[in-house]
Amino acid sequence: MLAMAELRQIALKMRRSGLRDIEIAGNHYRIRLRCDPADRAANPPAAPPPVAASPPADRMITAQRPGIIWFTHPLNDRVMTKPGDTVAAGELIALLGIGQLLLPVYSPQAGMLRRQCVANGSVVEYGTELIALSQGQ
Amino acid sequence: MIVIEKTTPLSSVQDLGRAGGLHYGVGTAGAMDPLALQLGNALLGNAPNAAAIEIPLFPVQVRFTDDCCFAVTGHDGRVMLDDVMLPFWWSAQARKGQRLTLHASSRITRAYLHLPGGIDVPEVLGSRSTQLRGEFGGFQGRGLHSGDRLRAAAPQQGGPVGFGIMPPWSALGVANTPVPMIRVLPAAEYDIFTEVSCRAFWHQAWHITPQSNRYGYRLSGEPLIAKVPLEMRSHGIVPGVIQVPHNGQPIIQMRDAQPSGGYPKLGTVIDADMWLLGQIPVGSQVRFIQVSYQQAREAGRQQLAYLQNAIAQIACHRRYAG
Repeated sequence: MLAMAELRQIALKMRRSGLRDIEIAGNHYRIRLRCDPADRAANPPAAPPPVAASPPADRMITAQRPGIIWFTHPLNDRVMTKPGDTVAAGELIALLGIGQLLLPVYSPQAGMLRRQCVANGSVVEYGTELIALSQGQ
Repeated sequence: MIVIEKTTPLSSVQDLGRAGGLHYGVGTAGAMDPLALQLGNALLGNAPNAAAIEIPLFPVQVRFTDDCCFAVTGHDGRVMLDDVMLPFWWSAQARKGQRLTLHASSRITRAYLHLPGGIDVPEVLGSRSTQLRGEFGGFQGRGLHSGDRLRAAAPQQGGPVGFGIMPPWSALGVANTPVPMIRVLPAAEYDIFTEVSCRAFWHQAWHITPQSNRYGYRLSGEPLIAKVPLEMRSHGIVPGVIQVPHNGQPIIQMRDAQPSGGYPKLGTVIDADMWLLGQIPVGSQVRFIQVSYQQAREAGRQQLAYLQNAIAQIACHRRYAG
């Protein structure tokens, strides 16, 4: 099976190259990826991103599975993390609810939580940006 | 293995209880919140009936003498592994020497501490539950003291930790009701109470008095009056039975109830709501809603389906989590 991370890589490459449709098959699976026709960014050639001497951009923490994102615990609304919190690498910053399960969302690195990109308790897809984490310092 | 560093003697080892002994006068004992017990066991891959430590008073502190995974369910008080706060209803890995501290919650009474394979105590009459009145079962037939050392039945069981389960409070939609509603079946002596009293029973919010514990919940409110005073011989009763003594203030039998009693029985809390009642703190209020036998059975079926589904989801995650 392809890992979700690989699929995301493939989707990103399709988007950059302007490929609109791809089908991948293995022994026990078949996957078809199709670009959204409304996605203008999928038109090549994409201009190279401007090189800026600005401080490092925020790192986006994305959902690794589809589910419901909880920045507060659904039992009693206790806040897990909020914008402005400094977190260590590997620190638990949110919960992803899948059915009855609550799975951890860890911070990939140390930094400051700048902003929550989705509302607490909302449904997120694989790859949805959850939290902007400032890098460095 | 864990060493208890701080506790009250009201902490006790409990599994799902001791069935089949009521006619010998052996009460059921068992976890006051069987949903928390079973979900916590599932988080660690334990059998549903594995024993855990039931904790009604806080803080409680234990130290791990070896690396060991564990889970905490039941309440929503702070759970600290050394100085790291864990989410509620969560499984985690402890390292040798780490301390776990459980703090009180204002709205849920009891927490459960689960170890891999369950708490390793001998089975007595088919159960590992502490029978406090009879002083057998559980850990040496008594509540826990500081200095007690308890072992996990399967310390090497392994499997993924660091995830949790949606508490039944949220999953079953009872988390945000200001006064919990408990479903009750009218019992054998319901009709001896005056119409006014029967109405009062269903319509008022009952106060759970401080004389409430694993044996029974004593309620206070507008007294319930019998049409004629009724004296009965002692007869068999089970957890959930609501008795009304002569002062008109009901007593609900809980898991450590004695197996017989003679007061008139006004109703019985349905099985599906015993977990909820068992978690309502002393000093708060509760209301009763009347249900039929069929509705009680249906509620039981729905709860079983919910529980089996949640346990299956945990088992699936444990199998496939990387």
